Amino acid sequence: MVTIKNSELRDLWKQAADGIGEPDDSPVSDGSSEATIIALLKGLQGIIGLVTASPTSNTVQDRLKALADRIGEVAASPTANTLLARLKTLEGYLDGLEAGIGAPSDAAATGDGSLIAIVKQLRAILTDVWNDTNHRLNAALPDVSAEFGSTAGSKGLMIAGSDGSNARAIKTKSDGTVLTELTGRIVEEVVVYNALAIASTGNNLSGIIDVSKYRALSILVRSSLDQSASVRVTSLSSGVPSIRITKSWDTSTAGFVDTAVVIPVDTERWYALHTHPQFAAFLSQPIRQLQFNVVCTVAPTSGSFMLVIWGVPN
Amino acid sequence: MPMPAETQVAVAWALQQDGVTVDESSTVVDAVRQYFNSHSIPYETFSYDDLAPYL
Repeated sequence: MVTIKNSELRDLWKQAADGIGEPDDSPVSDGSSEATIIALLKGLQGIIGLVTASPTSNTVQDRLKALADRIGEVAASPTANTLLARLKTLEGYLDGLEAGIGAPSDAAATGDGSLIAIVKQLRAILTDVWNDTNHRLNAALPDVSAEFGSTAGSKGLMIAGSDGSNARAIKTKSDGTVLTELTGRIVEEVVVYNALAIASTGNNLSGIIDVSKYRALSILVRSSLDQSASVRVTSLSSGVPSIRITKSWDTSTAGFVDTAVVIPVDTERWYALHTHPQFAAFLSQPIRQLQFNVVCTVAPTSGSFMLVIWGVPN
Repeated sequence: MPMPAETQVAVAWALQQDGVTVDESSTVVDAVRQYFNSHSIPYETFSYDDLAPYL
């Protein structure tokens, strides 16, 4: 049995009363400070706050209320702009998406249907037309699948006209060459001398004309000069080496002579210079560039001289 | 040598002559030349291209 003296008991009660503190102790919310239980409870109460409609600012209750306001209430129509309201909207979108994708059990659909239903239909179509043995589509057209050189079938790929109709098959020769038809050709015109009113006996050199892009040439001249004019042509290359060809073979003299033709006095006629034997032989050779010179031995006093090239592009 | 000072007048006259048309350059040049000759206007060799500024 333990015996406690009255004085000792009084000391113990005093220590306990000091620890509990007085009802008017100031609240202590600083954990590092020594305080009575009443002071600490008062401090803790100040931190937690009271459960009221408007808790004291910056208390735990105040923060919890603010958080609850932002989360929103669980209801059929949560308050707008709360977390629950946003989740409910998102849930609606997901429902729509889920309906659009469909369920794995959805049947294949030829018309409107879920994504799974349409994919199933596509799979069925591909399965029907795909020839897995030959690794090609079973829907190959007869002409496409025909052997080379075989008799053409009655069906084939058609190409529509520019009006979107009148589709026709492409025809070929027996060797496979596609049949084509020329409906015309382009002839370019180069005016070398544009009504040159020659008034002296000097040289009248033309510019250098690039004729390498032509596969056929016509050289046409017309003179209304009152004196005859000599037309001389030079085939030249401005490359390296620079080449100027002014002479061609003349069968009548069995020698090289200047490639020149005299155009008589005339007022109306056009002359096809390229048909002159000397010019024809000259022009039948590969030509890169041409330059002309027209000279009158007597200075004309009237009229003019024209020289035009017609070229058929390559 | 530049074209004579009378070229503008010559071209205007040429275009008024029968059978002269800009569609046939030689008709214009021949008529201009005729004007130069009839008015004793000296000129050197020229072409339709030289008359283009006066047309």
